[in-house]
Amino acid sequence: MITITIAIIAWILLIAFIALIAGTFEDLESDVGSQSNPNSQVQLAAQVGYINRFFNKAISGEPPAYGLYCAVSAGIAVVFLGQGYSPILAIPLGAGIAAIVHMLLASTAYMGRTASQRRFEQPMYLDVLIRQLLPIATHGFIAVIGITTICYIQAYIMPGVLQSAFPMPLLGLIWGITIGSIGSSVGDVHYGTEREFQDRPFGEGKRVVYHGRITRYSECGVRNQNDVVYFCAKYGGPITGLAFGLILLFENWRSLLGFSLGGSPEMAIAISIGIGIVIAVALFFINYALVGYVRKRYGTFVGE
Amino acid sequence: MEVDIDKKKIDWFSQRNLMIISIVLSTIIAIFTSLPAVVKAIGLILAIVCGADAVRTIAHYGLGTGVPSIGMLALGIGITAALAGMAAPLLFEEGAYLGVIISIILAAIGGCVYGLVAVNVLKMKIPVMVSGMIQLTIAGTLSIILASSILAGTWHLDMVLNSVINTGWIAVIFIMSAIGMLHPYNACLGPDEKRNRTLVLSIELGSLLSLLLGIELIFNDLIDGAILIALSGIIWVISYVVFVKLSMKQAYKVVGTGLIKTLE
Amino acid sequence: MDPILIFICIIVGGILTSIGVHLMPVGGAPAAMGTATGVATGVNMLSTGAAMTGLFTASTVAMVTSNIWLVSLSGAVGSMLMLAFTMLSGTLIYTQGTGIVPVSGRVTKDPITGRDFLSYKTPQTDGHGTPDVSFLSGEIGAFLGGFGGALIFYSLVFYAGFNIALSGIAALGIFLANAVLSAYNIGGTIEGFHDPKFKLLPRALLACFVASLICASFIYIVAYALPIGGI
Repeated sequence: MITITIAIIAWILLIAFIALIAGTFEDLESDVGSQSNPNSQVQLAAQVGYINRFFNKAISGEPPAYGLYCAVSAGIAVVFLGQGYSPILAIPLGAGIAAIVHMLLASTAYMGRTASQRRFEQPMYLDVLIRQLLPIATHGFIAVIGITTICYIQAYIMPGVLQSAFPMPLLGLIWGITIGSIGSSVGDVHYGTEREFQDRPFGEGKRVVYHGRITRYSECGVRNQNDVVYFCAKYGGPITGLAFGLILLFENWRSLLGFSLGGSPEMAIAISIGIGIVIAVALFFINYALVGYVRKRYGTFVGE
Repeated sequence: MEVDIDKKKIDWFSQRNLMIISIVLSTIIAIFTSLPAVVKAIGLILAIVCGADAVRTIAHYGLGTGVPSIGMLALGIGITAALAGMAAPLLFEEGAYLGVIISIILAAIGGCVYGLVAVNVLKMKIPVMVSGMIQLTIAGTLSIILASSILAGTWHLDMVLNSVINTGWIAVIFIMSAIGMLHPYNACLGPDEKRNRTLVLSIELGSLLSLLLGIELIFNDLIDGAILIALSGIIWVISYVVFVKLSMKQAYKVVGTGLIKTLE
Repeated sequence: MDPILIFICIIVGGILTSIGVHLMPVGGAPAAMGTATGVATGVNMLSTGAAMTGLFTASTVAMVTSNIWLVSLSGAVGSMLMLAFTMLSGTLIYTQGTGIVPVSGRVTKDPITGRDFLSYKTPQTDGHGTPDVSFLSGEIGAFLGGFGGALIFYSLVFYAGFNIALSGIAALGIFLANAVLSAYNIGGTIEGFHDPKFKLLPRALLACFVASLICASFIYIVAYALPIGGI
């Protein structure tokens, strides 16, 4: 029994670590290609006369897009696993095919959106298209291979009660949608509020009059998305990874703790539900304290 | 496929005609389950084109939550309606082909109710909501039935359960059909969006789904899978090239590189 | 198979989903620029992401026990934890990465903690970040949404007799249909229960009742046919 518990702890920690990496790269990938919510400003920029060299990657929201890549990757991996291939070969194969699908969607999104902005005189820059595609594919590859590995561990390896009953592609869809919604709600704020409007005053919400008037110049000339990812890799990406890692860690941890403490399965699940509620209440107070500290430290709004 | 684009300038490919043609053709293809996978893939592509066209008409009015939501809604209803139709052969010994018809009728009812609810209860100001939702849910249902049929050889629920749902490939079919319907209009969004470009993109995504299904199929049925991969690969290459050319033609300017205009 | 329980569970699940979506503090695209209060993503996909985390937990629990409360509450708590961590990380980015104090744009004072919003708000914006009241509202919303999703999943597994994989994808479909309808009702952005838009809830409840009824009847057909096929 103790060996199984130790094994479960080891796999939980591994999953949480992989989730941290996957979450980080998921957010950075959406910055390389300007996906999701901040992309509304890139779309608006040409309309207000701000011709730019951003990569207008509007595949869809991040959640369906990542649901797609992870489901495809896990689906292909399952096919090769079923043929007796080793997971160390099958999972990268799946992630590779998902990366190709990703590149195709990204290229069509850039070309389609730029062509639809004809009347705003936004040209289609071929070097922007070609230079961003490979970073998009590689960042996405790492995120997708991470999720696929998590799905593989949960569907096939995880010992005992924590093993999932869902097949691997469905797990891929579930975790893809989840990581996409975390990535777009956490990391994108750093890109959308800070880096996209860097010539605007720091420390305030971006006013409606600034909308569409994005920053187009960077430290070394005209800005493209590679400057953005360099900036966001310092804070936005890691925090996204932290969020996803913590979610997986605590989700599994509370189940494990319940099963170690409780006698019957019902008791164990009830304990884990109780622990989950305690964590959620604790998070509310952490947020309360954080906001309180910030309000005191930053003070009231002093701009115009 | 190149021929289609030229013809689309004629009224033949107006939204109503395209809808009727694609739904009728895909339904006929879906009914005959013994057809080779390639033919089913054509039906799948047609269903996705039909759905993408419906997304285009609805999302044109602005939804408030972005284009993707409508595609997910269509597949959400589509998958329950498709499951209900797939279960029909378990109910009747005779006339198993009725399953597809039942699916389509259920999907139409579902789409109609959702459209009416959205217009009358939620007060959405979209005049084409009801007809668009019907078209969209039928397309979603047909794409799920046809894609399952490619993998399992038939769409009867007992076969589909084993080879599509329990392996988890239903997730790939679900999300890829949704993206195939919502991505074309989302990717071409803008004031100068052109219908032919949007529809070519949906053909590309439909053939991409067929290609992925082919990778799964080739391990079960070598010949069928190989032909499916080859043909959907050809359709994919043609439609991608056509899309790139159309985009470059319709863009304001295509430049290799260059700086942006100054602010003033 | 138990037809009445299938209908009750799916409809209650759909209505809980709808309430959950209305409680989520979601700012959509403007929130990513700090121009609107809430989490910076679309409400339907955020609630789906939260409910999927809950669904994963509920599916593992459903292997062990068939108690409806334990399965549904596990899903609800999983969903609540996902949204709580997401909102806390969002606050970390707003406060430490962009120097913004979370405030609400619709009310001048926090209804729960009594913190003043007006003097901290940037002019010409609709608030920014996730203040205390929205955080609490979001946790409750995710709890209800996750409960609804897990309840639908439970009824599919134990009342309709589906296997786990089929139940998972069907529950996802029904959840999405309800979440998107509710998202259309609020037009994409809402701050929580203190938002004036929350008063629109009754019509979304009616819409989701009708929509869930349709989904439940489709599911009933499948559940009715399945034993005949001998699976």
